[in-house]
Amino acid sequence: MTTVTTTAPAPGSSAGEQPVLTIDDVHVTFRGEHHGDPGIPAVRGVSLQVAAGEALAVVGESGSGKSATMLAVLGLHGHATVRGSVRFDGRELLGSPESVLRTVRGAGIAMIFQDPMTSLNPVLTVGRQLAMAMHAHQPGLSRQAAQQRAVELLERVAIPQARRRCEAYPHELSGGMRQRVIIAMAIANRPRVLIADEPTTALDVTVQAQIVELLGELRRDEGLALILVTHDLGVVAGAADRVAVMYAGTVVEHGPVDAFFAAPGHPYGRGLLGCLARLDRDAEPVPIGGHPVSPRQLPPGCSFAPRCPLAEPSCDDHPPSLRPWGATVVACDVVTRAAGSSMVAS
Amino acid sequence: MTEALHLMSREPLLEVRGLTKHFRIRQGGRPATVHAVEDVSFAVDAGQTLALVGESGCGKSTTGRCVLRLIEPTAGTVRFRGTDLGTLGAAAMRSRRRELQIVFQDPLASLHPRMRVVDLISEPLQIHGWPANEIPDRVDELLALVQLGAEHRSRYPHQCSGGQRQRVGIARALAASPALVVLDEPVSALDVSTQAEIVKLLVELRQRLGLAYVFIAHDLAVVRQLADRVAVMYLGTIVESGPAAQVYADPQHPYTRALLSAVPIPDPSVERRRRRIVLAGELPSPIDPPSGCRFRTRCWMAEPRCASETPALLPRDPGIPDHAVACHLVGTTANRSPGPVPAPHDAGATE
Amino acid sequence: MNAAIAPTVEPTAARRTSRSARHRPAWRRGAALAGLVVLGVWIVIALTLPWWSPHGPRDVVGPRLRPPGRHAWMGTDALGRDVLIRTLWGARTSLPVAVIVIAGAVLLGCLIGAVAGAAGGLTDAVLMRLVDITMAFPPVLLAMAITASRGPGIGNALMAMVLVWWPIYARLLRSQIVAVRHREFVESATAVGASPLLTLRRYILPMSFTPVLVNASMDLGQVVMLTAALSFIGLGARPPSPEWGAMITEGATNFYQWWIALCPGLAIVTVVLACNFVGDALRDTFDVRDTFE
Repeated sequence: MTTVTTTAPAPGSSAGEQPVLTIDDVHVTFRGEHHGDPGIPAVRGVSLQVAAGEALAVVGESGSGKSATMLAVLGLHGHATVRGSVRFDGRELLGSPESVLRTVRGAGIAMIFQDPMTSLNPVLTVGRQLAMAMHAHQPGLSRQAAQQRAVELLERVAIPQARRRCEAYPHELSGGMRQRVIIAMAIANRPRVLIADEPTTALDVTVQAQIVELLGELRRDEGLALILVTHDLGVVAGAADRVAVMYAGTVVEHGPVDAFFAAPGHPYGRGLLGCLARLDRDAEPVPIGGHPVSPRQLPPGCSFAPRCPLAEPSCDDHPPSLRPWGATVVACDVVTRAAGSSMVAS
Repeated sequence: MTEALHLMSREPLLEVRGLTKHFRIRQGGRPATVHAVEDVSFAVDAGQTLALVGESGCGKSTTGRCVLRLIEPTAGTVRFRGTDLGTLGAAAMRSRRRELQIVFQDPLASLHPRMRVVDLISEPLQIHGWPANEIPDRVDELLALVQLGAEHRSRYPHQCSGGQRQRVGIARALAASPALVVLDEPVSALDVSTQAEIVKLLVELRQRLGLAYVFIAHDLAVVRQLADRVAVMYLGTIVESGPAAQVYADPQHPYTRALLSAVPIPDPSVERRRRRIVLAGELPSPIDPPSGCRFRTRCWMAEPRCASETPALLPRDPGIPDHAVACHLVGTTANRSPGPVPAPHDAGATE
Repeated sequence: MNAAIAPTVEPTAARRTSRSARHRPAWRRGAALAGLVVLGVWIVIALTLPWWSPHGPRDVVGPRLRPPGRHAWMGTDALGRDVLIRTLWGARTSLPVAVIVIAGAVLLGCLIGAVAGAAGGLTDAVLMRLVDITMAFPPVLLAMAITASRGPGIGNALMAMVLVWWPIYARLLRSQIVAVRHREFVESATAVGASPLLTLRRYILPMSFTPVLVNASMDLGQVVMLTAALSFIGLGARPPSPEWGAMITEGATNFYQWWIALCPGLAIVTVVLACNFVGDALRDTFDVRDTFE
């Protein structure tokens, strides 16, 4: 540990804009099976922030810790120890009592999950579930007002014949419709942050396009801060302002989408982009190769080094920290050193 | 005589004609018929790859299973090497399966959870009468073929990663040296980085073993590397088919165009300029499909005759006899679109 | 291996593993262990009793109806026999009967269930109606009717219980077969050219049998109870053979000598509870596997 791990300032959200949600150096460790087991470090020092009307994409493969980070924001980890700081609107959430978290969940920060069927109650009508979501945070709401608002919400998420659909049960709706209902429930209490965890993964391509469009609209019209958690970089390009790439529980690259997609800095970011099958280019997708590291057996240095085409012996010395690289920040000493020396040379 | 020979060599490996599958179900107590696949025809030559592309509910997987007679088709013929598979008895069909194989979408669901990798791969060999003493060597050979280390031999499926499991599924399918493999969404259950690995492997295997593929997919981007020909399905019918390059570069059917425009492109500048064709409405029920053209309820070009006449899958441009489209309006109203829609291929050309 | 990956993957998978053995509450693991120990002790007693028992089950050891004391730890019955010793000997009837009944019922039920599930169609319909008819009768009444018609005695009770019990397994195995048959890995067997028989034997049956096993282990306790019930009303084991149900009958006639009924009653309770705990544990164990399928 020779270098001081100074975290480079995260690339700005729109300048001057106060972030509505700030995730600061969050660690999530799943408890070990038995006494003396150090546990599994799923998230290791993640810092992210998002401002109103902004969309941040958090990208990574399964096991990268992206969902674990988001669950930590909402205090939804049962079997894990969470350290660090999560500030919503200036208020610290980590360590807050459950009663405070309950008022924030849904009304302040809403979350939607990948599989719409598991998030809906199969025996209640859509309208009833929307009303229940509203009543949780607005107990004074009259039955009629709730009903009226439910119809408005379904119209807001572009469900045709909203009044009739209020009476429908989840199984009577298509996958895309269900995801729209989930989104309607999520925005029912006018949250300021919406965390969407793989919202389109279970959907068909044309439906996926519709949902991405809808999320974009909500962001523009309601000033919602959107965190899009996904493994699909293709969706990110059209839906986010900034992108954070996660690997083995850390952010390895973070920056504006344009800069990232034009020239990703981190070898893992390059790999992720390079392995995409794409319609607009003839280049063959190139697999990254190797396997994601097990969080139980993290290498001492850079956790991507075992799969990295640029790895040098020094990569195993200590974990790299995020440093500026062009418009983004990158956690790769090889890349940032090369950039630094080329600057000196010129 | 020479002409007869010529004709024989022209016979495709797999020829599907008028394939139709109806499922009888009960809906609210009343019997109903699901028109899953309706009059689907296509052919695959040896060593060639046909991509069957469409969204959920389009009947692509049912078509794949009917080809292998894992589901009995309601009507139509499936000829493999000139033999009508529908006429084969159960035992004859079983031995034919050596040549016709399938790789399933989710290897965790399709591999016996209590069989080890070595057993999973050697089972087809035993069934098809491979000499017992040669099986271990053949298993090693297959593991090497799908780039799995020997340490995987005695693992169970749940002890392998997603990509490794799918390699096991591929090795099992290739064990008895088939000529044709139906790939039923073989990569859509996998992580993006693993998808590229498996697609690359499939390309290599095709080259080494001269395999023909029927690649079933919901995403046009994924099959682009592999497909020689593409057939786009919607609600049980093929709406467009042709050489892959042709379909990607110049999609004719409005549904194909919508599908291509929905595929995200990982380039923010392209995405911003791109105009998506966002299809209105929902997929109609296959129990009561629309009359005439099945796509007309969501088509922005639809005219009255689309409801009365079912469009045939025909070449619309005499110059490209291979490229067939099932749409009355293609060619008559040169690419009327709901606004300026740059084909995704053009959009990317600015790179 | 799985545990190592599980917590890092996305929430669906994490939720899945939370049901696995490692999150099972400690008291349930304790209960399973206790169940195994109790059953083990009973089995050892039943097997070794003739070598160390101070008296035979029919030996008169002292005065009649003597309360628990130094000479007979759980007292004596109306004929002056040691209640504790008789209860221990009773295990040599109840446990083998339970095992034989369950084995017979599983065998018969699974045969019929497998045929129904594999054949389908008319065969399935006919066999399942037969199951429905049998199950429509209250089991105790049906067992009573069969035993009564063939005359009381442990042999006839045993046969009656097999006839009462098989439909449960037939229905269970059939429903499992029907469910498993449509799973994708069975389709993959067909796809590689496996014959229907091989598919049934290697793919469908092994995956269908787990619930039968779990159910059977729980039913062991139930059979012990039914045996006792039949004996209690005089249709099973006849006096003077030491059978728990028959002993409770004797206790009932000597109402104020509570120890006579208590001792065999406790024996039944421990066996039934132990079987339930072990069955629960089996189900948990197999559930873990099932979630990975």
